[in-house]
Amino acid sequence: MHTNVDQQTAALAARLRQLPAELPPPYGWLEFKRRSSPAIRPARAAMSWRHAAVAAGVVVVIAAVAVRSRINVSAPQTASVRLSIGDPRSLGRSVGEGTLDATAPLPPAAAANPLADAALYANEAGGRAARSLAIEHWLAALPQEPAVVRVGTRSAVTGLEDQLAQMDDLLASMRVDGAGLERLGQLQQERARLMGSLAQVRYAEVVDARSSP
Amino acid sequence: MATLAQIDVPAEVLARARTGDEAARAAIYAAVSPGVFGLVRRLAGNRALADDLFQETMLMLYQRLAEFRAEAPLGAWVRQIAVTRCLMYLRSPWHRARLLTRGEEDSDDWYEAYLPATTGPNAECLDVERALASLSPTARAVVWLFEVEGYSHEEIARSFGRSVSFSKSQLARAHSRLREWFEPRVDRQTCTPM
Repeated sequence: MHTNVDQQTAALAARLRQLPAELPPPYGWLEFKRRSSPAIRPARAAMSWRHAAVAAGVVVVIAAVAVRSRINVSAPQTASVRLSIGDPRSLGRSVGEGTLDATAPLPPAAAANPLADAALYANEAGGRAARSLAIEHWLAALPQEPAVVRVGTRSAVTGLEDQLAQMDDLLASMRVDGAGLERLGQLQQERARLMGSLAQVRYAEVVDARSSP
Repeated sequence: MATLAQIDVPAEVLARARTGDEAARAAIYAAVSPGVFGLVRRLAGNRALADDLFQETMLMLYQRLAEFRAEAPLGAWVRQIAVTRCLMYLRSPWHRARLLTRGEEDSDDWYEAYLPATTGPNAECLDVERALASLSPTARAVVWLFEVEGYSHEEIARSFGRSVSFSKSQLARAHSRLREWFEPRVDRQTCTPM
């Protein structure tokens, strides 16, 4: 019985292999070139040192602004913001720390004063937006995705990018609708968390691409 | 006829293509595009989608040509790009949702359009293409990669980001379905001469 099934399977495989491996492409070279002319120019170097230096400078400035703005408003909110161009894990940690800070109960004095409350939320949201921006610049400085990618990693990247796009849409519509600072702060916090995750996955992808033969 | 993985181009053509030489790039397109489209068409199963994935693969080939280290034939490198692009699509939540909502609409009869022109009146091929199209996208990709492209279960599992048993079970399911297809049945018309 098994032999019969094996024979049938072997015959199936032979039939599949007899199919033409090549099919006429939907269009020729000229049409392909017309459809993709800006994209197929000879590739530039993935990342020049000048770009890396500019990106590092932008990250440092944004981080400094974020830290300074946090120090100015309230002493208890002066959580460390550590951004590093070289190590995305520190980006993830600082985002995580921000998450913990934001979910902690507010000090009684600040909670009792609506103006101080609003300033605190605005400042917190500004800090998170700055962190998101810093991570975005760090991501932009990374080499492009490798030509041959792992499906699992790339799916995670595209999934996070989709979630970030949705988050940006939501933030934009909430701002237009005049949503409260607290709600905007929560969304910024979620966006910063997603950016941190994206940075870590992209970093792993780059390291993997460099180490693979 | 060489398979896509066996197709190679001279080093001199590659070098000129890297500098943007038009004729060299056209020569590479002519060499690999039929194999790329054949592979993508079998894995994607849908004409419009195959066109998109073909465009993406060829685009990436030219954009990343500088990364190709020529340790294997160019076709093998391009094949890996094409397979990755197709499997990413098969794994995407958007695709799964589309399959749920559109059902069988994706399995169009594309093979009837190209077979007479490319291989002559080959009813056997037509029948095998129909059988292949009757499989689920994942099972079709697994059976094609295993039986035709020569991937091992470990390579398929790695490509899908799944376990080896996933690959084996998908292959067994595909074989079973294909065997059923080719068993003589009175309620189905076949183009294969009996």
